[in-house]
Amino acid sequence: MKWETVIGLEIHVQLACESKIFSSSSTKYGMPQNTQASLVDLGYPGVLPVLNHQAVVMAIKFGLAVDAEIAEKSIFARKNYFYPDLPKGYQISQYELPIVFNGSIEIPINDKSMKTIRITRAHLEEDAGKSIHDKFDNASAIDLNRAGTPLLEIVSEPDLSSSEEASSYMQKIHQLVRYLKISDGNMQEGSFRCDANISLRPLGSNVLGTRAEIKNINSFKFVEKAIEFEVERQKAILDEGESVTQETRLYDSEKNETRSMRSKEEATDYRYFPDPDLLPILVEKDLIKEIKKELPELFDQKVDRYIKQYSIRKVDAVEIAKNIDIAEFFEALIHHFKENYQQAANWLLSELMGYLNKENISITDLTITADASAELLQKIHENVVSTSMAKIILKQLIETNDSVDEIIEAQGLKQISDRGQIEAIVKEVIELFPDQRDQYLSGKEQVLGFLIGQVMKKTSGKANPKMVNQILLEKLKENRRR
Amino acid sequence: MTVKKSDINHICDLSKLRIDENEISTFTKQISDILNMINELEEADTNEIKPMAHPMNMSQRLRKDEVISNNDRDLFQENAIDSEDGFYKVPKVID
Repeated sequence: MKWETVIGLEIHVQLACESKIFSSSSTKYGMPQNTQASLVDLGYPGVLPVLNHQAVVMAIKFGLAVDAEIAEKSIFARKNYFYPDLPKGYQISQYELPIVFNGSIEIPINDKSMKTIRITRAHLEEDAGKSIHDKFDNASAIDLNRAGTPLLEIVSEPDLSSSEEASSYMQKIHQLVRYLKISDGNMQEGSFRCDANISLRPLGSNVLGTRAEIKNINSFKFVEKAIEFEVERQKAILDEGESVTQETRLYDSEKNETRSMRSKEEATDYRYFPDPDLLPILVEKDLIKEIKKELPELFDQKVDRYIKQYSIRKVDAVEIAKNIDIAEFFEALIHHFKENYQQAANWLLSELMGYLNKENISITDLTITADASAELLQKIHENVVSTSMAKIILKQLIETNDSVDEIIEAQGLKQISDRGQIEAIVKEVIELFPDQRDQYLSGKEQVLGFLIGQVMKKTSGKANPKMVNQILLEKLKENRRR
Repeated sequence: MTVKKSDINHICDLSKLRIDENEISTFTKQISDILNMINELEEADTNEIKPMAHPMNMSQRLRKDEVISNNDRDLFQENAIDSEDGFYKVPKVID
């Protein structure tokens, strides 16, 4: 039988708040264990949660960006289960009346077409702490620094039908929360992770099959691999005429397999009920209006603007806008360098990105300012330095605190663009290599490259290559006439 | 509404409660009685009434996103049954 894959994703986004969702302790990552866990986070008796305003604003921002409805009234519920890293015995989440519902987002598929993925809801909740099982021999270690960290859980409809679509959707949401600046999206630190609900059904059927939920996937690559593995596993079961068990599974990226964690609780097992410690959240229309006004320019708008306003090629505009940090650097760069926007884009994408990829660092790790980069671009543009020299200068700029001028001066990297000077060297080279000159004149044009190379060598690579090429051709022509 | 013995065991399991075998019938009856009372409430016509999430007709006051709490780990861990190296120690759990 032919099977159709049906996938829905639940994405957990850690909101970029300074303090926790219900307490005033810090959300900073990587601090010593339990130094950021207050009485509220520890679930002491008699304490009361107080909701963080910023978390509400961020949830609304997300909702507006995916054309969702913002609930005028939404409520918090207790999700009850026992685990040592959840000291209260319940997680404060939203069940009925989430703050954001009925949204949608377009994702690119197959490089060309777009597909609309419906977003069922996005709700606010608190994160749990962390259990470490290999710290002590006969005890588990509990670190509650993460307990109470504000999360936005974004739930999609089962509209995704392949691992590629799931990855594309996850990347789109990641890009969006980074654009909105509601999360740092750091996947290594767990700020952005997802659970995937996967089921198969006979092709053409509109009844959903039994699903398995794969927990805590923290990379775009893993979401694809986990889904691919899971689809094959379910296919094998169904092809045997057996049925899939509804359960929670864990993806093991080292073995590239999913395995059973526990049979899935039904929602009723969590015994959700409205949290009596928290009153309903009422969102005023004015607040929504205010947030709407402050929504930043998003990816599609940015790409359009780059093409229209700066006449940048579409592929480059897309590449720059993909990552908000790169886009912001680019905009700062062309604020200082207005000569040629496409040239700025080329330099950013090939030179600077090349450096970043080679060193495996992100643009925010760089100390180099857009200002200094613009200065370097200006030098290239004015032919003061060659592009190959610019590479060396860029490396120096990043690795030292020197200015562009200081580096050029100190390293003697200034490009030779003086016509007379180049003419003299070209003449010298032609005289030094009469055989090659004759070969060229007899029609073996590839020898030109050799002669250019000799001129560059004599000038330690500092001669303006365009001028060298031009002058060499002129001189050789003169030789022919003789 | 009837509650089965297996329901009681399931609830105990979720609540991490251990009860004696001979107590099960007591709880079965008590929980059935509670559910029957709820069923009686169902008879009231609530079609025109919006669900209530909280008895107080007020809305949530929001807190400014500010870090105020200090690190009181040592103080809090005095109350813990077991702690070491800044961690709380609990019986080993492997999920």
